[in-house]
Amino acid sequence: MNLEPILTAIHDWSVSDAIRQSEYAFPALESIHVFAITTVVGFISIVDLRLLGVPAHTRNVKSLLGQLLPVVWGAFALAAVSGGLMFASNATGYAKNFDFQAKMLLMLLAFCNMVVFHFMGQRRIAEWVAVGPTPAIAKFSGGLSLLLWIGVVGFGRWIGFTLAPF
Amino acid sequence: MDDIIGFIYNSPSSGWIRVAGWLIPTVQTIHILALSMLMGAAIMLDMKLAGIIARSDSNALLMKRYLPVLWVALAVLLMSGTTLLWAEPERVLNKTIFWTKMGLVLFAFLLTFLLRRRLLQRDALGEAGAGGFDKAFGWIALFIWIAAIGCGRWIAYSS
Repeated sequence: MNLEPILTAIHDWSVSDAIRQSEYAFPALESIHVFAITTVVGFISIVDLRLLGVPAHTRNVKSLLGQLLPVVWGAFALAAVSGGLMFASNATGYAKNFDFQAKMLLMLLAFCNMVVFHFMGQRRIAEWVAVGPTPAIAKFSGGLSLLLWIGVVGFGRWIGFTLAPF
Repeated sequence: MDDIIGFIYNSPSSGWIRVAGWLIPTVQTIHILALSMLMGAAIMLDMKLAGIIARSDSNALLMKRYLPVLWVALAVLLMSGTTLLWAEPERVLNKTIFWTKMGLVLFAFLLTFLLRRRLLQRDALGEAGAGGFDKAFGWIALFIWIAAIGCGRWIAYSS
């Protein structure tokens, strides 16, 4: 599939152009993105570390997920919108950038990990919540998620060194 | 200030960080990861004070779990930040936005420290909840951390 026409259309979008023309839009989007992504990673790591056996304020993983996930999704939406707008300002450049591609791939893997955990681990959450120590699959899923998100932050920062804004 | 910048810039360690091209982005990544720890801990505490999460737990329990994370994160931020400053002193020391950021960090740190003292006093008196001032301190501190993040990002753009 040829993505070039789609990328060019995004690049030519009036909003993309407005971001390119403005002196403040890009740094403002970056600031929002950093705030959003640090909130996402901060909260996800609390869950991941709990799965690995580091105590959170509650032993009950289900209740911990219930308390933290709304914030994770809210912050993730903010990160996706701010990130999407930065992407739009230089769609063709980002699409070709290795660090950007790697970041997207790691996020996709983190998403898959979450789905697998949801269906294989979390389904039986009630069984191990009461016992305390997390089963191996939960430890694996938590550890993998932590590594993937560290990678997302790393590649994200590296984009700034391998791609000029526009 | 120019003398200080010159002294740092010409030191062998400063040159060494700049020559190793991968070091600055790596230290910046560590800086952002530490920021994640700080944000996670700060928002958790504020949500607790606001009564959104962990209503049946004491403030002291939440503080015991998350405040040490915040202090460690702050220490890592200071160390990674100093490394970045050392590598490119002219990029930061002459900029108002950098000193604004440092002022905000100090202010948020003092507010958090004061909040900790107030909540521990409350806990010692057996008061489970948080007062209006405590909540305000928490949210203002969070708002200031976020403003500091914005200033930090802006260092790259101001001249």
